[in-house]
Amino acid sequence: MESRLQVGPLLLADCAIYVETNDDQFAAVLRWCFRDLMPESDQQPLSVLHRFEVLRLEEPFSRWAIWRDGEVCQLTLEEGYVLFHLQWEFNRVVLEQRSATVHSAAIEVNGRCILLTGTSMSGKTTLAGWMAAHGAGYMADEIVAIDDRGYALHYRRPLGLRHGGPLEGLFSHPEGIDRRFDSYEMLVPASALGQVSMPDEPIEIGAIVFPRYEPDALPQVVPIARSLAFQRLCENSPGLMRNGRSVFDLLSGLVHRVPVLQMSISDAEGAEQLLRSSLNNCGVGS
Amino acid sequence: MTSTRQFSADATPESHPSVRSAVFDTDEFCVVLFDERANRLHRLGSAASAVWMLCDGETSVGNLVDELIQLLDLPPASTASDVQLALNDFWSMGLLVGSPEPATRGGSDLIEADRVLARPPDP
Repeated sequence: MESRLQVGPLLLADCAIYVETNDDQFAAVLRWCFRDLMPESDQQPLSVLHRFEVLRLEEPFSRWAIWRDGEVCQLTLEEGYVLFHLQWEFNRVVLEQRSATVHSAAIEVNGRCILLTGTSMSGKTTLAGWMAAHGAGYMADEIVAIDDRGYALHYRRPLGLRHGGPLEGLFSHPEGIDRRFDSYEMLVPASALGQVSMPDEPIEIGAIVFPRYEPDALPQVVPIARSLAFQRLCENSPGLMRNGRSVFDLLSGLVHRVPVLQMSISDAEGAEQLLRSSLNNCGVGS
Repeated sequence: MTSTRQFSADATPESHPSVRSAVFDTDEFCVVLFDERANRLHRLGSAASAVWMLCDGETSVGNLVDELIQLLDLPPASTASDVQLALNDFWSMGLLVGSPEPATRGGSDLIEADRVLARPPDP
């Protein structure tokens, strides 16, 4: 019988996740990528458990497959995509567990959570990672859950980085980590970016920022109507489609309450300076 | 197929209870709607927003037109027909009591009437 390796628990959205795999190199990658989701030693056990099996299969052809709690997720994954897909399954767990969610990254600046919201390739992950490497707290990437008070909950998943981006110079993969699994996208734990703080408690949302990556543009803050910001936030809210009016009202209250900014960004350092000065001008956290 | 309807002057259009509104009136006047049945967002222009706010089941279409002419300083000659267009869009999208169920699911759009009634430009 083939041997299985277990990685976990990983803690996300009040769930304990265990991953079993038959590939020791994949297990090592998981331990590195998801290390920020691993509990402190004195963490209380959680009652909601999910078990993923991620197996390398050779018959009738070479491929990878993922099961969640015994049910098939995918049976024909390419090697370079399996890690990315597993992360997506983790995101799904968060979406199932939390009612109000937005497609955003989240950082903590001056004691307030800043939502970086937008479509793919808008620069939100890069900006979040850069800010975290330069003194901001890291809260979440891709999915941010918001509680009834308008506080953001942390989800310390690894940052999804494309090859050749500005964060590549800020970290290095540990020796021996197999790079077969990141040909599609690199998953990098925020803690690999240096001494990154990661708040434990929910943090009140202080601003909503819509970054827009424009490589030839000067970094600048562009006004955005609150109604348009609200529409975009709703369009980027998986929770709205699942839970309807309660999320609509929550997001509406949030957009009415906090500053909303749209930023054109071209480089990470310029974007950081612009964001910090803009937040100061808005009095966020001061 | 799009459903249309001519609203008489004494009709009292009413927003459907499944449609949630968020009103933005600080630096702009805009209503964003969310239809729970269709999971669909609608961001209205300022004039369409004003029409929507008066779809309370009590204000008649005749009074609605009069109020808009006064509130927004609109030309009387075209306002009545523009209001008909807005109400028709609300109706065809299933946003009013008694209108057909919305057919589409997901996404967002602008109420068609915003092509006619003044829509605030995106900054």
